[in-house]
Amino acid sequence: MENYQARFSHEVLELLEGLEGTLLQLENNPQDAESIAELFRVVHTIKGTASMFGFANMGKLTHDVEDLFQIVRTGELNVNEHIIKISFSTVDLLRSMLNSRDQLTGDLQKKFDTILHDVKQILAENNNADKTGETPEKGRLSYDQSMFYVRYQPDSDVLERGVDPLGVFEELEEEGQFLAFLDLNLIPSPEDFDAEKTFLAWDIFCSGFDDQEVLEDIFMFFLEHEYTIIPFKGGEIKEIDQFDDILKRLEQYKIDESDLFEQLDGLCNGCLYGLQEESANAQTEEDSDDRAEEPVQETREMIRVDAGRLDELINLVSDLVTLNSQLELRAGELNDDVLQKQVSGLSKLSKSFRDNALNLRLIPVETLTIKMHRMVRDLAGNLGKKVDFITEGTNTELDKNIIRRLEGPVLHIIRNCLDHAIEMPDERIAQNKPEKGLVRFIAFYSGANVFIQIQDDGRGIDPEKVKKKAVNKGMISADENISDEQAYNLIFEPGFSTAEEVSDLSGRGVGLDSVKKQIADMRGQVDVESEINLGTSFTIKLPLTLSIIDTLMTKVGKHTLLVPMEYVVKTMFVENINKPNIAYEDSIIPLLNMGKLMEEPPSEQKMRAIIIRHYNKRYAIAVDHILRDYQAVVKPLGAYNRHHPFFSGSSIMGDGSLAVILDINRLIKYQKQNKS
Amino acid sequence: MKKKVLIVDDFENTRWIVQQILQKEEELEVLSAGNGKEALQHFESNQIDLLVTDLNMPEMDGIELVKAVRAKDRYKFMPIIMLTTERNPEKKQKAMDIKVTTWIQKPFEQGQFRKIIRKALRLK
Repeated sequence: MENYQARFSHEVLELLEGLEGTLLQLENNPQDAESIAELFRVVHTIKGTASMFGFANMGKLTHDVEDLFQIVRTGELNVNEHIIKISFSTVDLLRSMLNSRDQLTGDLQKKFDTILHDVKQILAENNNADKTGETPEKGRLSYDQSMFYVRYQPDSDVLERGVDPLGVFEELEEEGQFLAFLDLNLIPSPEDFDAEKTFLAWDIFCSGFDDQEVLEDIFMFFLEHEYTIIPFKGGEIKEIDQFDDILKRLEQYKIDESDLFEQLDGLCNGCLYGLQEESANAQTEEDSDDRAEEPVQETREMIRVDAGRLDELINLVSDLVTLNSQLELRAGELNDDVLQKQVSGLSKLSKSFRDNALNLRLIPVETLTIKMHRMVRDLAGNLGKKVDFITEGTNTELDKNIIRRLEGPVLHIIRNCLDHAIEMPDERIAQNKPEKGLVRFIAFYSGANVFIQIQDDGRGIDPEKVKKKAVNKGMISADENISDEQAYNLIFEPGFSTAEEVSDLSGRGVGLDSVKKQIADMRGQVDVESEINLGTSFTIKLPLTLSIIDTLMTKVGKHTLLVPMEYVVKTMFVENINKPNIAYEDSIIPLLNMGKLMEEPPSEQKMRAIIIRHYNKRYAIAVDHILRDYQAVVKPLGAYNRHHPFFSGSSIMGDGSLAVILDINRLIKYQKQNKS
Repeated sequence: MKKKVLIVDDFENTRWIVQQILQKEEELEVLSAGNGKEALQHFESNQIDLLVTDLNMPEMDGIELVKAVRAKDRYKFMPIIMLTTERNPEKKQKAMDIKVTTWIQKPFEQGQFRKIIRKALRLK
């Protein structure tokens, strides 16, 4: 039972997250029938499963809330602020009840009673509480499973091609389900009848097929003109291409439209919704035009997978890639052409296998934005500010591990925007700005990175003030001449923002330095740009995934050191590695001698230096040799090295030896600490 | 009883590959011929269940062979698969016109080949 409860909790949490998004939409557009239907559906689902999993109180709560949404759905009650408020409170309470395992301890009982009371009151006012609904949604006939329609009319000489036209039905039966109508209209008069020819045709509905290709395979021996496949990908039945033509064709079977739909419903195990209404209203339905303008959301078939299993898969794939490169190395030594060919085939395969596996872990950043919407809404209300929150590029996908770790930093930045950047409405009006502030969340791909920008049109950061404050705090000296850009980056330094200055809302005493650290831990970077009174823009740059990293393979003494490629600017020779700085282009930059840092005996030969860029600064890293570029599969460091000051992970090389991956962020921090 | 598959190709290597692929299928027995004339002899002495033939062959090409086989009453409805390197759709259409079951483009992929053969013979 424990296990089932955990699964239930997980599912409900996801549903609630979706529900919040829907509520926010509904708040902007209270007439939105789609949102209302969705709301009802989700509450209905939770109600249906809650008591089954021993969440009796949750069942009770959702039962009444469902009644409320039912009268909203039928149009007897319009969505108003009160209903939205109750809905949000319900979402919050349901979340708490998941945590408390349905126990209504302390505060929860009060909240529970309040919501039930409010709901009952509304229901009593509308006096329609008994109309709870298992009834399907009105005026729509939709389905959530893919089906196909096939018109199958083999040529009359098909037998002479050595093809049995009935063979397809055996295969259809084997691969899925079908519903076939035999069309006898092609049978000629008895005098023209030829026993060696076929005059049959069929109209077939199929379900349970993964994709059209499976079906096409079944009809492989038939020519293009002998069959037509029309996919139904889920959605509204009326929106299917050529659906009218299909219906016309079916007329000959004298089957009633509602009968047909009922049979189709049976075919796909009850995937049709709204049966009764649709057949009754088939003629009167006129509003389908309005719906056509709405973006049609593509429904994909989803399968829920335990994230742990996915990680395990990635680990196995990583091992495969490693083993493969060992094999590659060995095959190269053996000088066997055939083996080499096979191994390179295997390499290709395991690489695409790996890419595929990594893709499984990618999820859209949209999952983040729901929380953000909610936070902006609540926070703006509390602060008495007016804010529009716009999201762009929410389809952009990132490794789920990154998304999970990104939540904190991003919410922190948005909190800061609302708290410090966006002005009060009257202040904005006085400055000729729109009363409503604007916060934008933008995500997009660029190369192997994902960029996330959070922009606001608030008061901006004054570099002079930042400098003054930094001087006061002793972070820089008063005569230090720093650029505005450098000044902006000071806000990410530890100790810049302090607890007493941060309002209780964004505060908790944590500054932007922790944001920078959390992002750096994901091998990301954060930058800020700002203009006084125009606004501020935070840009976060992230790798697509944490598991694979492009590196430059180098040797330091007996060690193999991998330097993350994204930081590398160029490489050069250095004469003297014992100086703390070297000249690079027009400036003097710090030189970090890896041999010394890794406690290797000094090397006699000419050293190589890798110039790296970290934020706006350049550094030179001295190593013994630079070998080649290398795509490393990142493994965590062993327990012994876990807190190494400047390694972030390890990777197993083709020959089985271990290489360490340099963490540039930590290295530079380490170097700064040891210098001072 | 095993189903008899006749592979006709003037290129020995193709015959060998087809043999290799189909040998593993328990229900099948594979016969082979290097040209159309040789093939016709098989049709006389055996009951063939499936013909797999190349299109371009010396002496008697695939199309002529198919016509000759189809002319025999007992092979009127036998499945025939044409092997071809031909990418020209019109020529393929011509192969269909002489009533073959399907064609397989060379080079072919083993799994796909096996699948089509089994499908033509209605084996599960």
